[in-house]
Amino acid sequence: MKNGERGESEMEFDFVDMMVRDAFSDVKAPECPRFVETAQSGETEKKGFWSGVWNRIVKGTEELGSGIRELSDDTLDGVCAAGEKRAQEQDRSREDRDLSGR
Amino acid sequence: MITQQEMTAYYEDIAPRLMRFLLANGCPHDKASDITQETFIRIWNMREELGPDDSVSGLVFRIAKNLRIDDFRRSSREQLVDEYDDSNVPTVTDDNELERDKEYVRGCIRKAVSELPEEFRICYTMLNLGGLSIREISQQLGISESLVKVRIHRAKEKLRTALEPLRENF
Repeated sequence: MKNGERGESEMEFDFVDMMVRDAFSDVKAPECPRFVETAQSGETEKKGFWSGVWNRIVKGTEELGSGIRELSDDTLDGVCAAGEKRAQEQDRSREDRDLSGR
Repeated sequence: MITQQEMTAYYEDIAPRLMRFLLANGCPHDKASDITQETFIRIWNMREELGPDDSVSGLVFRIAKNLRIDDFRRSSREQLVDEYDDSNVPTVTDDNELERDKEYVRGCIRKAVSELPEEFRICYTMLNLGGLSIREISQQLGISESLVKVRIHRAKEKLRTALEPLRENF
């Protein structure tokens, strides 16, 4: 529906209305926004945000996993080292006992 | 759901009317442009929620009104600009006298509209410049349709008195 069609049908249209419309007839609307691009950029931002969150989760999980692995490795190394040390001590004490027994 | 083509058609139809309404009600031109574009971007972003029976022009004016209020609150020091005060009514000094005459008359008409009491001016400009129906205006303002008609009638009476002397030059 074009400008004023409804107004004209509902109220009497006279010289006052005509003069007022003419006085504002040179007013133009600003450039039409690019609706699709606006929406797409919104989608991109949304995707960017969520992919950022996802990347952080993945990275965090990887870091956590590697941390656990490192910790496990360290722990295992430690356990192994402790085991070796203990075995050596046991060997040494056995040798000492053998020597003293002789 | 509104398509891009439909939205562009709505813009071409409603945006100039909204601009005229905002300017006639004291909104500076640059802010009126910002509000007009922002209003349509908001409607585009909520396009999936709109049904076939929703009045887009009614929605446009409602969002624009809220944006105007928000803007006014943000800039608390801002005063409504009277763009049509006497200093802005051009004087006839140029060679192109006919065009200058017309411009002078237009300035006087805009000033007469700006001097209407606010409640009369809003109803009248919503109808005559905004192209809204009486029902849409009553819904926008939360008043009865008969009160809208009374206000428009009174606005026209005042304008008729103010513009009658200019009628010959129009």
